[in-house]
Parts: sequence; structure tokens; C-alpha cells
Amino acid sequence: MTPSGSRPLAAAAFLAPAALLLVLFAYWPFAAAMRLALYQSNGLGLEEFVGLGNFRAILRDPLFWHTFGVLAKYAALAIPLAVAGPLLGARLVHGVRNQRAASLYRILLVLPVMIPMVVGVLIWRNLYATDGAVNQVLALAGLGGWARAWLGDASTVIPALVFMGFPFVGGVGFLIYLAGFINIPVSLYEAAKLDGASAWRVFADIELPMVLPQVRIILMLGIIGMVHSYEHILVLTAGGPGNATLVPALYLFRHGFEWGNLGLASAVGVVLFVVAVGLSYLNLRYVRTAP
Amino acid sequence: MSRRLRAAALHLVLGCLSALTLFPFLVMVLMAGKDRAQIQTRFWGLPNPVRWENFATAAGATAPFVANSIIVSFAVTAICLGVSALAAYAFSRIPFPGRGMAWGLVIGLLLVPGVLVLVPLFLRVRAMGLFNTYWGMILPQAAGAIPFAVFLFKNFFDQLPDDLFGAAAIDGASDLGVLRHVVVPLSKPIVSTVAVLTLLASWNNYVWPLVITQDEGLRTIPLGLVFLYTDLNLSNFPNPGLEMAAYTVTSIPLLVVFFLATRTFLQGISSGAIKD
Repeated sequence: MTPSGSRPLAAAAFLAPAALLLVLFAYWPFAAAMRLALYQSNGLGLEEFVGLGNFRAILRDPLFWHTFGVLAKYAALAIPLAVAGPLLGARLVHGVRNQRAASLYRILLVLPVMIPMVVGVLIWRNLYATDGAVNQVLALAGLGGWARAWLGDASTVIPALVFMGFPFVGGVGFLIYLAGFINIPVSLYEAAKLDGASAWRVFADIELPMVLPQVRIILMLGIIGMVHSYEHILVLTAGGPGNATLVPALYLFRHGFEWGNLGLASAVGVVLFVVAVGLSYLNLRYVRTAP
Repeated sequence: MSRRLRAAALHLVLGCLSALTLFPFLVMVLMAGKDRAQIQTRFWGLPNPVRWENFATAAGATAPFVANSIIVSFAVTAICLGVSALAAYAFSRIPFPGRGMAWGLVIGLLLVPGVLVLVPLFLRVRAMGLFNTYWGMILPQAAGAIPFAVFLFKNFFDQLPDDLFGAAAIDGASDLGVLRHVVVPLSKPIVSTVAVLTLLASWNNYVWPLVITQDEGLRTIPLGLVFLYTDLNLSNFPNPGLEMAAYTVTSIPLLVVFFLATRTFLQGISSGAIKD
């Protein structure tokens, strides 16, 4: 608090530009989505109040439930890797004594972040093709019999989507963890050394508790990202083969922009919002940080 | 295990992990210089002769996408940085009635998924006459980036020493003067964090430009690359080398920025500002 006390006019002037953008492009659409979920609408003039009809319709749609099954399978594979992989990468780089080598590894492991995401996705589409690099590697390893159209097979498509992150150790999560490791006080390491603690004990008793805030934020980002993201699936498989990769957000996108059911799309969005809020709450509540 | 042996093992593991991380991009560059016959007969071989025309054709076809991406992403970043810094300064340093509630409203937006507001946002922007325009791409993306930016800025501004502000007040500096001459110079780490995150999010945004534009001339990199397959008629004339050349040349601009400002980028994300 400054001694001069409350200054609403100055505050209003500083807040006005952000407030204008947020009202126009965030609050208004949010309110409109809530309202639209209660209407049958095609965005071209047809608008009819249906109450909770849209929610009833999606909850009765087997495809809607199927999309959550897809999401659960995908998340069960992807989230542990997204949390543990970069932790391993950051721990390894943190252990490199030579500063030059450490910063080289840091650059190499972060580099993919700087390449347009859609480039990564389209490269993998090519790598997964029948004559692509993945099958070529298998042929080199004498496993040519395993070759297949990885994205065209309902039994391999989800693992194939997850595997696009291989070897899972780099990216933004890696940098967030690295910041956590760097901030661990040297005195803790020295104390552990005096006690003759093994590398594993140091990791389990000192490092892991100290980077728990980072674990939590990456878990949170991973969960929210999982519920919300569908762009790479839209580009790679458009939900196929069949509906094997149709996640809820993509189901929403299709209702809204392909099938012209804006009300149904918004109802799916409201459900996803509630799911995201619920998962975030559970995460905040049960994944505790170090004291 | 001796200390040296252990160090060598660590380098071996990290070397392999780095190579595997970059593997798709190495394959991309390897394929980009080849024609179709070379790819079919010698997948792992070096291109011989190098098909430079792949890069020339790809650069010509993708140049407009790169230009559009630069315009949109840099405008989004600049707008977001400016308005978020102003708002965060108000939340951090200017007392006003209802500050807590206003803060809650901004933070609440962090939980609203982009996909929920996609449909009404589209209707809104179209109603404003911004369908198929640069502003239609830029303003909603800038707005979408504000809540997280304000959150990071405010947390940082809160931790600046109070003495600085007292001294500035005695000198009779205005709020804007304090923000420009006291806060911003001390806030480089957080400014780079917000700039990098906003730039990357906008650079990678595929769906918003997809739904809000129609003209091929407005396509950004993600959109342009997805449609390139049709544009170059690659289903009738398959040319994986040309595709990969297009992916390679469109990756270059941000890589150049990255190598010019590696320190800013890495410090930005790893400054420890992103936690809780």
C-alpha cells in the first residue's frame, strides 16, 4: 500500500486496455458459450431455447462417452511420461559437471520447442507412413515383420500418438525442472555427502522433494493440456481410424465447425470446463508441495 | 565406479537422448535434399546429388506463410506484453477498491479452456467484421495470453523492493514513469519469460487461424503447411523431399531468433518464475 491510499482513476487507466480485450474476447465469449449450451443453434440464425436438452443429448450419445474412453487411454500413457521423462532429463543434465557440455545438452533438448509444432506432427505423419522411417528402422533391426501403417490401425494409433514425444526427456518441462534443480541449496548436497548418502538417496530424499512444486505444475499443465488439446490429432488422424482417436475436444470441434451444432458443441465445452476445474482442484488438493 | 567413468557414462546417455530427441528433425533434413527415387532406394544415405530445387520451391511456396506468422505472432506478443504489464502494475502497486475481486476474475480465466470459447469467439469476431483479417487473428490470441501474463508479471512486481518505489515517489515520478524507468529495467527475466511463452503459443496456433481466415494469402505457417499437400498437388505427384524441405525452411526463422537470443529464451523459461 502506498501512503497516498486508494487511487481508482490511475488503476482504471492502467487496467483499461487489458479489460477491453478481455471483455470482448474472453468474458463475452465465455458467457455466450454458457448461454449457447442451452440453445439449439447453427450459427446462421436458427436459435431455439432447449434448456438442458443439449446436455441430455450428449450424455445419451455413446460417441460422447467413447471420446472420454479415448482420452483416458491416451492420458494414462502420455501423462506419466510427460511428468517423469523431463524429470530424468533435467536430473541427468544437472549432474553434468562441465558447464559447457551442460549448456550444450540444454540447447539440444530444448531445440524441438523452437520448431513449429505442426512441423513435428507432419514429420511424424511421414515417419509413420508404410514406407516411412519407423518401418525402415524396424527393417534395419530385422523386425520388418512388425511394419504397419501405425496411424491407420486402431490398435496402434494411440500408442503411436504418445510415442511422438519419444524419448520424452526434453521440452519446456525439462527447463522448468532444471530451474528447480538449480535452486536446490548446495548446503543440502554437502550435508548428504557428509552423511555418505548414495546417489539414489540424495535423489529420493533431497532432490525429489525440492522439485515437487515443479512436478505439480507439470502434472497440472499435462492434465489441462490433455483435456484441451486436439490440434495435433485433427491434423494427424482427424479422429480416425474410425473414431479411435476422437477425443472430447475434437468431438466438440466437429459439432461446432463440421456438423453445425453450435449448441451441442458448447454443451460439450461446458462439460470439459467442469472436468478441467475438477481435475485442477484434485491436483491442488492432493499433490502436496514440499514444506 | 570411478568419477571419470561415471562422467563418461553420463555423456554417453545424454548424447543418445539428445540424438533421439532430434531424430525426427535429422530425418527431415536428410530427406529434404532428396528426390523420390533417392528416398526409395537409399533412405538412410546422404542426398546425392542434393536436390537444391526442393528448397527453392519450398521457400517460394512457404514465404507468405512465414511472413504472416511473423506479423501475427509478433503483434500478439507486443500487445500482450504491453497491456499485461500495465494491468499487472495496477494489481501490484496501485491500491483501488475491488482489487481482490478483479484479480480473481482475471485468474479465473486461466481455467477456461480455449476450446470452450472457440465457437462463440468465432461468432463474436465475425460479428465485429474481423473475419478473414489480421486483426481477427491477432486480437483474440493476444487476449487469450493476457491472464497468464498478468499472473506472472504481478507475482514478479510484488517481489520488487518497496524502497525503490518510495524513492521514485519522492522524486515525483508518475506511475507510468515508475513502470518505465524502475519496474521494466528490473523485470527483464519475467519479460523474456512472458515474451517467449506468448510467441511460441501464437507461432504454434493452428485452430484459430484455421477457423477465422479463408484467404490463402492469410495463412500462417501451421495452416499453410497442413494445406501444402493439396497446394502442391502432392497426392498426384508425391514428393516427400519437397514436403520435408518445406518443413525445414519454415523451421528456420524461429531457430535463427533462438540462436541469436539463446540466453534470453532459456533464462526466460528456466528463471524459476513458472511454479505454482
